[in-house]
Amino acid sequence: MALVKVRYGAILSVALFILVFALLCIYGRGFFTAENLVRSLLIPASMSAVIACGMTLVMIGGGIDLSMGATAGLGALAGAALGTKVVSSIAAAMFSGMFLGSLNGFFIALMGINPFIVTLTTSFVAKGLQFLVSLQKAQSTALLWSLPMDRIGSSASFQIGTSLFVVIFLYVFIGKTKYGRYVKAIGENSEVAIYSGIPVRFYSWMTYVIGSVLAGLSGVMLTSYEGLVRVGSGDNFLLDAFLLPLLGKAVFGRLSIGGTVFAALFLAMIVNGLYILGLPPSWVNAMKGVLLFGMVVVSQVGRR
Amino acid sequence: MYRFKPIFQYSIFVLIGFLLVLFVALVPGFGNLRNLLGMLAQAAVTSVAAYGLAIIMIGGEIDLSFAGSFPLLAYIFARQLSTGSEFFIAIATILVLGFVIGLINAATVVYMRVPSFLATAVMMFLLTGLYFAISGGHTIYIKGYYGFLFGFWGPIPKITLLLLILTVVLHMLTEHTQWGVVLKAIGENPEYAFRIGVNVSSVKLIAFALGGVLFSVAALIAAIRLSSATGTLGSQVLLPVMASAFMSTVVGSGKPNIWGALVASYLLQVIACGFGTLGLPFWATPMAQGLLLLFLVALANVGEKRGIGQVSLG
Repeated sequence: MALVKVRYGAILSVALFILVFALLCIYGRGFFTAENLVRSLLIPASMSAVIACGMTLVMIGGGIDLSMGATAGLGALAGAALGTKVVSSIAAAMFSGMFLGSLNGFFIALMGINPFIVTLTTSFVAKGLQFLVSLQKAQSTALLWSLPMDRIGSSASFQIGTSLFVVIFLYVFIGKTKYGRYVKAIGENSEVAIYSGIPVRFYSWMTYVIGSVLAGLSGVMLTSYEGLVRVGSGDNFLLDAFLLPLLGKAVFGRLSIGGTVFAALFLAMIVNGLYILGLPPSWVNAMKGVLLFGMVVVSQVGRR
Repeated sequence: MYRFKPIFQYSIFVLIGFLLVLFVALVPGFGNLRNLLGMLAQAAVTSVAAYGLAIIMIGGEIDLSFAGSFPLLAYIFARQLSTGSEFFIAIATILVLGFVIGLINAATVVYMRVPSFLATAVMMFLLTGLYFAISGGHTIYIKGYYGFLFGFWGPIPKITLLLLILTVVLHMLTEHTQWGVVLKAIGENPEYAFRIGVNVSSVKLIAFALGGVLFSVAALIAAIRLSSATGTLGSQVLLPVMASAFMSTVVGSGKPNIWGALVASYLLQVIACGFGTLGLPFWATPMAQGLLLLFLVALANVGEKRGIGQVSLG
């Protein structure tokens, strides 16, 4: 067994990141300005990093949560409908996330049902709740944020600060506490974890709760930046949440908060760079797909 | 509890029966044959795509790319028709494109060994992006082909009959041919299948290609049914198709299977149709679909060995 495994994929990917960044600095007019880096790179990256870090925790525990997109949407709608102040909005969003997360966790960790099936079905439930909240509040499928929340949502320090807090919290939680180790152990081998005396069901349940709370929070971050919440606002987040941890894993060989954040930054940089280089907006998504595809293939170099 | 397991295993049929009786009692005209078969016709898009996904899942992989190939292929189909191509040439183009997408998926998953979740999710991104790139987000309407699939042969909608034939064919293919059995073996344990001399790569390649073709057929049906090709098609089908394919494991053997996918997508359609005609509020349908599916899964799980639920992401 090789003691030191050189991950050519990781080295190549990081080199690619630096190369793309450098090229954009040289050729992209206005790329390397504080305004652009904060508004168009860090803020989108921090929104998707929050939900993707929640998913990373769930995935490290050996699960998956496909209801996160719907949960993010529900959190945003609940926040906009119930809260008039900043704190109460965010609390409402996180509580609705907690509700769905504990529902998921109950069926997955306590009843032992396949996470795919459970979270798929709860995403239907969350979609229904989105319509319910929105129609009850305003007879329409879109709500406006309250003024204070709107103002704080468009500030860069709120977006990036929240994201930084979440990232650091989860990094410490997973990497430096025994609870994080429990979650890792469960993800590696739940049978062994049981025999090591770890309360497997509780910690598995907990990953879903934390993940969904973060999903609700990221829903608030996204929609308060835009000022408007629609039913289905969070749907696009599902892909981010799902893709970023796996990209991080493809690059660094295992699921980690660092890898997820790297993937979020990389993706945001690609999108920003393509816009700045003057690609027509309708082509940006296609190019993003092509580059992602290339990156995934490159990251597999030297594997097996 | 194990003694009662078969009863719980087939609870989905009890639920469908119960819902049908309920809706027949409450909604006039719900119980006539035309409506019952019509619901099967409306479930065709979800079912056919779920067949493709189920076949790939039998082989132990997954394919999410259909949510991207749906809008793209439907758009290409609609544009070909609107620019005056022959109907069958348009269909052939779509099928070939679906086949090629399946082959690309297989190439990345089987030969480059990218985990299928990641590879096909990225493929979904790529195809959705391509759709927006070539269409600019515009919707194309097509006229005059609705009757081709959704017309009637006597009392039976054409599409219902075609769907049932396809179901039987795919059932035979996955359960009663050598290829199907080998595919199952690969899904159970690829390592052992390889050791006993199965050509794992080529079997999986065929599964992905077949899945790609089935997705393109489903996209075709969707385009004809809606008489248009819109960009939201992909996100609309993503969850129902995945739910149907995964729910098929609840029906019967505990593995993904063709009949299970049909039954599950029919259940979703019955709920949507029943609640729609009852005039219940808009939010009730997805909620009822979710809660009933959850209830079913919980029932089917009675008497299972209770670990925690986990998935392997490759």
